[in-house]
Amino acid sequence: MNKKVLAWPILVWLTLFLTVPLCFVVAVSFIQRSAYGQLIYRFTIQNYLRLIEPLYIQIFIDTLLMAILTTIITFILGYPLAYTITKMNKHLQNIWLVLVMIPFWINSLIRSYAWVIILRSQGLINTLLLSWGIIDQPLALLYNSSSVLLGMVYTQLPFMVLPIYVSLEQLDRRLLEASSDLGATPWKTFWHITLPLTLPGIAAGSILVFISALGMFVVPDIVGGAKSALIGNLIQNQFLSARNWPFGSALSIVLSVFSLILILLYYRVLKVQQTKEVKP
Amino acid sequence: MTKKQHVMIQLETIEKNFAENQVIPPLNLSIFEGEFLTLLGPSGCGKTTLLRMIAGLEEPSAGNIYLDGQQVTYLPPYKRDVNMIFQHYALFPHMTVEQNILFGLRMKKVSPTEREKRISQVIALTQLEAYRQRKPRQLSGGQQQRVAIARALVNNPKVLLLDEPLGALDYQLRKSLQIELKSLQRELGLTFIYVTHDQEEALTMSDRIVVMNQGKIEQTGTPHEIYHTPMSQFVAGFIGENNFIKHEDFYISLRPEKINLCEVMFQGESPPPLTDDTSRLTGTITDVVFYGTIDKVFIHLDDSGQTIMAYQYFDDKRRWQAGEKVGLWWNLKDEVRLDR
Amino acid sequence: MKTWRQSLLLSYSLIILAFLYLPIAVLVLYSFNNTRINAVWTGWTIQWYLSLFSNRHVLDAVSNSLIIAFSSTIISTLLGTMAALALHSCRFRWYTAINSLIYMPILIPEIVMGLSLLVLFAQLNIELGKITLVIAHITFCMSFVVIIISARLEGLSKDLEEAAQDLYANSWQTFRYVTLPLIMPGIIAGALISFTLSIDDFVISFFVAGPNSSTLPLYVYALVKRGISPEINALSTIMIIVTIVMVVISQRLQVNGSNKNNVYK
Ligand SMILES: Nc1ncnc2c1ncn2[C@@H]1O[C@H](COP(=O)(O)OP(=O)(O)OP(=O)(O)O)[C@@H](O)[C@H]1O
Ligand SMILES: [Mg+2]
Repeated sequence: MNKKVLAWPILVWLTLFLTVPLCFVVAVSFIQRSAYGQLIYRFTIQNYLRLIEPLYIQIFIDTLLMAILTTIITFILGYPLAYTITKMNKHLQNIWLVLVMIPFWINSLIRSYAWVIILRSQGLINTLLLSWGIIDQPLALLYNSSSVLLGMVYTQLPFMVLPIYVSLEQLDRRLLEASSDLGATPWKTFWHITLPLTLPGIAAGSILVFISALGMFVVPDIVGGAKSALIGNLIQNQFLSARNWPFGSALSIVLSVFSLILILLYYRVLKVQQTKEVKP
Repeated sequence: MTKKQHVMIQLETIEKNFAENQVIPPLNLSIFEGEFLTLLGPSGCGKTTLLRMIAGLEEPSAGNIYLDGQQVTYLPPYKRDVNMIFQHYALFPHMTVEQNILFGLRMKKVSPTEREKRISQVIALTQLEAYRQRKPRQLSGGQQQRVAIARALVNNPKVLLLDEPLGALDYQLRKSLQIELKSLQRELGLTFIYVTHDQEEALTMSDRIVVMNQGKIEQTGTPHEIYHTPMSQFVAGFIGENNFIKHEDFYISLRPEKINLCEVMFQGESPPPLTDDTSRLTGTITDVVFYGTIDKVFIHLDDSGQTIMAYQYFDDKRRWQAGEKVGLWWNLKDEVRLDR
Repeated sequence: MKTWRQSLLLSYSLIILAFLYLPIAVLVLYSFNNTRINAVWTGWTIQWYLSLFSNRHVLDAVSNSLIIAFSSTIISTLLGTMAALALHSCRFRWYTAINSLIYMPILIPEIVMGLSLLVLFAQLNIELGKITLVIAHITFCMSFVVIIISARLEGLSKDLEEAAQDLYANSWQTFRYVTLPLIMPGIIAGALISFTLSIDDFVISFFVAGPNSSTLPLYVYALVKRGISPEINALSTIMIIVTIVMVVISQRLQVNGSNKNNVYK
């Protein structure tokens, strides 16, 4: 029996329910729609031209900024955490890893909602501050871009920690000892040896966080309220309320292509680095 | 060896426990300036641990370490004038050969001109000119080894610690690097503390050998002393091959190359007269094994029933066969008496 | 010096861990709070849990979620395992293309995957409901199964299979008595992860669910959009507990499995 047959079902499935739908989306992005949202099968590139209107350019910039900030903050929070975990003994390491992983698996909808309870005007923080007499009017903590950023960082942090942990764990301890032996203080050892050698992990974590922040719509939807408009929300809107599928499709194509390019770039850089080091 | 014995490293009742486990019981050792000292002992006896304590990579549980008269016991590794060559070199994979070698000088903020001077010296010394810009992964094992040496030497350390530096290399390369290392040490007058599993390496390169067993020092001495006058059964048995002939309350240790074989019947070659300074026994040959330059002859002794082994060289008159009766004799000055 | 630096890092990490868990803890705590209106603590109660169990919509959502999770777990585990085995033991001419296709569901933004299925179903006039949800869930779960089982197969030394064949096992027997037992922990972990992903999925389900096929996350979302209520807290708490249990079990399986089978280590 040829085992290759075993791969067929999944390939057929993915073709039918992934490739074909994506082709449909590409197709829809090039057609028109009626005033009531019906698709009219006539070719147009209008949907793409609309993307460069200032309103949408602003949304792209906001989304990019949000994704970049999320990546930077999760890195600042995540690296020391991953570093501390690798310094523990094996048993503690496993416990901490599971502790970091659990929020990663909990629904991001629920995790965003948890912040609503804390931040809303009758929420935990405002109630506490009011009862302590520190403020006399509830603060507007929710439904602004800071709360969106907070929610993003909160939901994306585990994505950053895990790859960095893996690369730190693979780091050869003897290199650190050699560095110390050659006169480098702990801080210099970290700067010259640990950090450069864990760059692949940092890159992997950053790509994960960045891309998932780009397409995120749950977090801004829940903690950003009606005011927040990131690409994810815009797309959701076009499909569910505005019923402008062609424009929504064009937006999603742009988002996917951008994400895939980043991933390809990441692999390219990784590969180049590896071949450079293996081959003389 | 230097004439004036300046103590470079002094270990004073050094002790090391890992959790409950005592790896090194209190131990004293002085290492002199400019000497090539080898730590020799079975696997797990604590050689690496001892070296790491000298380097500062491990803190002793008790005791003191003095480097050039200064107390350094709790000084971190980056503040000690001691450098280590790691077992698998531990070269930084993301740096070129040159950056690896420069690392220590950069950490110590040595001026660029001085850096340039020193690096060209060690690169010439270790013959690495052609590889300056390569990454460690693009080098052969022997070249990597040279980089590790250069990286340590360039700092002008007071002491160089080498943990089985040649362990991962093949026989030929090991031989040639042994010679290079030894001449380097002699020329620069450096203090080397060398760990090896290879007895031949230890015997040929060292000024002094420290034989360790389960964390304790069994014997310290020149290679000659260690080989010819072992002070314990462990040392006698660990270094080279040896025979132990049991007596009531002591052992005689006797190197196989010191034993001469002769006919019992005195037909051909006659044995030398039994004098005050020789000893003589008879036995039956149980096995003869070919070893290239020698035969190893295993003999069952008639009187005590013990088995001993003797080397026979091919320029000897005859080849012995299993089953033959044989006489054996040796000079009394070649036997070493060891207490039980 | 050393301990000073270490304790600084440790406290920093503890703060971050607190940051990760505090909101969840607050949510769980408030699910037991005896008031509907605001954040003031007025005493313990389990009434919100009781009211959940008598709420038809909740029970429907739970049963939908379970049906969908079980069906998609079974199918995606089966297809994923088969594919991982094929990829492991055969050389495919289009290996890179096939591999990219398998990774695709993980790499493309969730939202795009959801809406592309919506476009497909709409264009083919397939009515949205449980079937479309199951199809969507299988599509994104399969890839994770393939990756987990491939990693396991990768760690398996080829020697073992060759040894079995040397001892007269045919290829089916080799699979049945050697390969399958060794990758079993991977298969179980893959299934658990599929189940968790399916039960937890919101974004993709959001696009392909019909009016009568609301799953738990979709129901929670609807409630959240309507306003804060203690029932949401109770429902969320239940979902959180289910997730934690699943993660801990699959972690245990993976750790035990890899320790037990690494004879060469
Ligand atoms: N970090 C550690 N924790 C616990 N035990 C250790 C540790 N390092 C070494 N040991 C134990 O200390 C003993 C001595 O180890 P060491 O590495 O010094 O031996 P060695 O003489 O260098 O052996 P080898 O010749 O095999 O390299 C061993 O029994 C080892 O198990
Ligand atoms: Mg060792």
